[in-house]
Amino acid sequence: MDNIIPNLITNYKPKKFGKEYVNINGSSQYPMFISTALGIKPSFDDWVDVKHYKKFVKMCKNYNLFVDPDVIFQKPKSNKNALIGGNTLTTTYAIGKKYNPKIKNGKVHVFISKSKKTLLEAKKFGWYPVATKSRCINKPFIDHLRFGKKLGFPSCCINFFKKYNNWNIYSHPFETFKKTPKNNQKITGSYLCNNFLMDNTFFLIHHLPCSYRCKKTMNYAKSVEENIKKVEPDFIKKTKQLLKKPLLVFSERNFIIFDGKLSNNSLKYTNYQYLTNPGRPEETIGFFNSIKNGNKIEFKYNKLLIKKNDKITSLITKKNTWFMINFE
Amino acid sequence: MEEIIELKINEFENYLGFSIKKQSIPLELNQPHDEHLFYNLSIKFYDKKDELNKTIKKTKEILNLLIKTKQNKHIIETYYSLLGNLYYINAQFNNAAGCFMKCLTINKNDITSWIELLFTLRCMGKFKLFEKGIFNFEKIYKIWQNDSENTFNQKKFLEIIKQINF
Repeated sequence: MDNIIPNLITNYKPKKFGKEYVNINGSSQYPMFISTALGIKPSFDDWVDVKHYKKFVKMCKNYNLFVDPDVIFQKPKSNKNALIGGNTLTTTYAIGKKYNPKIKNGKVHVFISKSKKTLLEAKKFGWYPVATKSRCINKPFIDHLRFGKKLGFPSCCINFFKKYNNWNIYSHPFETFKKTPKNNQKITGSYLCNNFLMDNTFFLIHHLPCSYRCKKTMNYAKSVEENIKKVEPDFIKKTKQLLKKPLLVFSERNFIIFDGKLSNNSLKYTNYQYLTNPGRPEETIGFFNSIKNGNKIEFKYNKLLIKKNDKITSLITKKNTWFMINFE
Repeated sequence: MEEIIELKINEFENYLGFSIKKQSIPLELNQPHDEHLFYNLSIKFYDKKDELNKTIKKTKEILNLLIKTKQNKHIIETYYSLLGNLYYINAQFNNAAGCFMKCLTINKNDITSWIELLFTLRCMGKFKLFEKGIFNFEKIYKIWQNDSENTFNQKKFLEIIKQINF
């Protein structure tokens, strides 16, 4: 029987700033909204239920933000592999429809900025490979890099992405982990560079950093933290707590966050939450139940040991790109 | 002359670090478009303005030589595509569009040139034209494939787009 424990990651209800945003769109992208509204981030993109689109535009106007619609994303009915180019999708899989206020279901992909010019520049490079009839069409790779620049990502991280965001060859988070400097033979990330919770409410950055101690990312995230703290201190308190929890990472957007303590390749835990990549269900691990039933994980050579009260309950062959990490 | 061209191409490919190839992909093959050339060029030239400008110059020289010596159509199309990709990376979108239109003039049966042209329009801020094209991709491809004219240009593109009920 499954243990019944509360999720570590919940929604956030703002006390002061951006209440209206969360009321319309939920809290999953809340930090991006605040960062853009406060002028720290030049622009961001988001998805808004078509039914609430007009209300959303009006709400943004109250925060001096411009909104421009891209296309409507609808839930697909078939497997992505049935589409031409479907196997090249990495994170998002949706049916695309031209924006039309008469369409009654789906989410409008929108670009948001304080500057109309910045917003249009972001939109130019911000196409997602939605399914248009029978095929998914990727934008030219250079546009991923340009889009990152328009969203305010650090140049070192864009260059790192350029090299390692090839899902067929690399695990981007593992490459980032390897590049993170060691201290006393240990790799510990800074919570300021913890991007794992992006799209899950409690994050400060929404890009893939080039190291979990990237200086430019840390400076940017610090500025986000300090500015949000002035308008929504409770949010920062909760975010910092979550960003400092240890993780077991399998691949991009595919990891477990723990309430626990990681030391020397051994992680003792009392609570956990598994976050998977909906765009790549094939990467979901099959032994999460074993983790749920245990209270300790160890890496030994190429094995992942799951223990309950120090007794081995499962032995899994570990991929060399899996890693455990602490953030401070 | 053939040997000189071959030598120049070999030198150029050595300089780039990869071979310049473009696979023609007709719609009927039901395959994604060929992203390899654009991907390799993006990796090599992102944020390298000077190197990119030099490469554009070299590409134009070779392309002129290929046209002058009446080389086969596929190699000329490949070099137009290469030049279009380089212009795109250099944010010279008008020039890029011109190159992709040349590709569509030379070869009506390749989805890659269409996709590259459509994204160029998006980068130029022509979002409506982009959307008409991308959401009616099969239609515009077939209209041009069956068109009796051989020159693809801006006027022809707008004429094709007009034929679509959107």
